[in-house]
Amino acid sequence: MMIARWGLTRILWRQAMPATLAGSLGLWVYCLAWPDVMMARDPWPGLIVLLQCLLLAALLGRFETPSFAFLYSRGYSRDALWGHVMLASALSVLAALVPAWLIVRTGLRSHLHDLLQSPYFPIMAPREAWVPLIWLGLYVLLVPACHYAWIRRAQPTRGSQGGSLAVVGILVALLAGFDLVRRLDGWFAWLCGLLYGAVVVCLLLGGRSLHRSLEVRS
Amino acid sequence: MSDHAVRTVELRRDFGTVRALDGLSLDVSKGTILTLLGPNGAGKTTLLRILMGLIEPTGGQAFVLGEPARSQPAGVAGRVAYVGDRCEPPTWATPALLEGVQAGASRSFDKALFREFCKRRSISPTRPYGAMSKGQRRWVLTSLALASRPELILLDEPADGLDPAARKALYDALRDHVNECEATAIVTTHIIADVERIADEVAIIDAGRVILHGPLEDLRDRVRQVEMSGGISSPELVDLASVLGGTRLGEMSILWIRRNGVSDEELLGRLGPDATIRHVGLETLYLAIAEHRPAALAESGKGLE
Repeated sequence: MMIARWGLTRILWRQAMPATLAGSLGLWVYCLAWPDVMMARDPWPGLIVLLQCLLLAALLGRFETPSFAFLYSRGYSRDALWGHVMLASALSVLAALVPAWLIVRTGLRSHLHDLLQSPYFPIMAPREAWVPLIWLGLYVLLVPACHYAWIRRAQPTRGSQGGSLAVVGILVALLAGFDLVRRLDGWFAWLCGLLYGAVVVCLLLGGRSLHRSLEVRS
Repeated sequence: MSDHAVRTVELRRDFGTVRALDGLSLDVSKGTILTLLGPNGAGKTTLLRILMGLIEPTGGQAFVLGEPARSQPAGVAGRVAYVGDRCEPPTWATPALLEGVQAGASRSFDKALFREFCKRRSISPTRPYGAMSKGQRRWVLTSLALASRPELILLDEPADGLDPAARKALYDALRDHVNECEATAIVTTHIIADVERIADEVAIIDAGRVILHGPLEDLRDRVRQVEMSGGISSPELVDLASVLGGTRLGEMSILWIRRNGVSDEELLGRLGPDATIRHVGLETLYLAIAEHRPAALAESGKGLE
């Protein structure tokens, strides 16, 4: 069981700040300004989530910089470092997602658009209340996937293209499957949910495994 | 249980087409301070980075505190400290934050000692790392390492940028730590005076290989400079000494040798009355090896030990 270390978390959190700001501003502005009823298939939030996840992987995976060489030579085990990278990513996601969710759930968005005389609000507000959960689902998939692809790419002594392409393939298949799964019912929907969970767990474990032998060259 | 804190066997490391380490074998006994000497690009930093688990060897083996030195296994994490070039915290990090980061990694980290170190150089706990002078940065990093009370401490040019007083204080603290904790230290430096101040053992590395390794006192005692007009043929010295390097100065031949348990008188007896034998300092020895290492040995890659 990993024990969260405040100092290490704080440094990683600060390293991830640009990603947090990009994701937060993007989702908050979207929640406040999007004039229509929010739908699960709207592309903009998906793009914002993808951008934040890519930035998180890049900012928390700068293994060729002196500051990462410093962190990786403090005496933390590789698994502890991997755990803290995931923790910092999770905090970044929560910093973007929780306020966005609150904007929707507290009625702020509905009230604002009601004031702006949108014909959809407040009547349609309950229909979009669950949409941030879709974003959460995207984050849960994309954060480990992006970290895995980034670490795979950073392996200097191993072939890396295969892994990155595999991640892209998995993501495209799963994202395309989202729409399909929403219309399914019964045991097959549960099976798809289990598959989704298995892919996430595999990406997390695969990333951790690659991270153990990662080279930190500065 | 191994008596060696560090053991490398035929260690190799390639960076693309460049071979940084080329079959480097080195044993470092527990409780000693080993200084690594060698020209730039000799492989000193690469060796320390492999021992720290930052990079992996291309071939051969490295053991740290009895465990393979691959990517900081759990058994080693927190027991080894490292200070290296291009291994620095973000510029906005303060000593107070660094203290927290280090305390999370090593259970034996002594916060009071770290604060005492910072106080000695008037470094405020809230001063950002980027606002410190080069010497202060080095001091903070080395203090972090020493305050961790590690069993093995790897210092890559720790005195770089330090004034003489700070250098002395740093090496005194290192010696105290090694003595108190029976710790082991590997220190790279280009400052020969530092070597003579702190080293128990010296290893000279060139082209990714150890070409000379031994206790400092032993090197001082056994290494000689032999001068002779005309030539000195190697067979005259076989069984009596190892040739470390050689050059010619006009008509004069100069060899640097390590005696194999024979006295200067026995050597003189073999070489004849024209020969002169002198003691050499570490700096002369280092320069002799770096600049006048026998070409045949350099090409064959064999060590001179």
